[in-house]
Amino acid sequence: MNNWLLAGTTFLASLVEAVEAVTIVLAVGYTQSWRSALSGSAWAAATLAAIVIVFGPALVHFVPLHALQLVVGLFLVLFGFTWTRKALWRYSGRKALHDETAIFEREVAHLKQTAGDTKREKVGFATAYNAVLLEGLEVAVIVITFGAAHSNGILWSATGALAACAIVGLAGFFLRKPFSAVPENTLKFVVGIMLLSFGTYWSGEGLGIPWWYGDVTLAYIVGVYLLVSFMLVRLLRGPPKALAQA
Amino acid sequence: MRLDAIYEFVAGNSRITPLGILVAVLAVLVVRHSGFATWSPAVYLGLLVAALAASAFEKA
Repeated sequence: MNNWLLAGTTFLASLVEAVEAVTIVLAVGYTQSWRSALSGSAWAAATLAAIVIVFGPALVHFVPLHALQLVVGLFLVLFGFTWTRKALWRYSGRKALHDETAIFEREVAHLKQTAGDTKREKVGFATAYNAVLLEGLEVAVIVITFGAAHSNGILWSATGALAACAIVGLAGFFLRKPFSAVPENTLKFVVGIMLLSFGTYWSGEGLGIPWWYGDVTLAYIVGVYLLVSFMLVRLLRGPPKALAQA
Repeated sequence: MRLDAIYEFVAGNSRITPLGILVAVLAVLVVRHSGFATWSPAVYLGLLVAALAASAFEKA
């Protein structure tokens, strides 16, 4: 069960980050060239794969398991806090929802200012490379940390990540427009809860905490965080405004 | 890479989040070596939940 949860979490995290990366890559493709957009993306993907291949096994090889669980778990808790907090703010209206169309238009306007064919290729390549690398870095970190804290974790989480990137990449190739209809905030919220829950469980194991029901405790931890999140959204929204008198 | 960029990447510029996690870890280390070791799961989870709640009300 845990393997599918690992793969599912990285799948969803990758889906969100891939959608954001594809928005920038599409903007580069339309304004600069498709060659620079695709080559920049490919090089960034290769960089991310190298990071996972080098750091993933190295962590497992050189660091003792309990220390690894603690450090990795705390890292995931930190990450999960960030993702969940932002999602809660978006649900409550404290922060604007991510608008892929607006980002696409802003990026297109910015890139159109680039003049000259040679510079255009370089700018296009660099923009696509940076976008894919930055968006993919969070996923690479999640894949590495999942792999470090769970046996076969890197295989399952990498598979989830690759599957999501393939789906979004193909969809971007055929649709050739930003994915405005993707429920990004919901996906980010789910990923945040899963990162928080895995992080809490693994860091707890690293601290020597005797979780009550073994692996099944993870489901209880997810439930607690979900319940608290729903309450926090209501509190953050504040009391409903009184209806105006007719 | 600047440290503040790394901090933003990992902790989202929250001050309460790392502090809350540190408090939770220290509390568990104390509780585990006291007579209340069986309560350590509840203490850890409870403090992390409190940290999440506190950080949600932090300035956006």
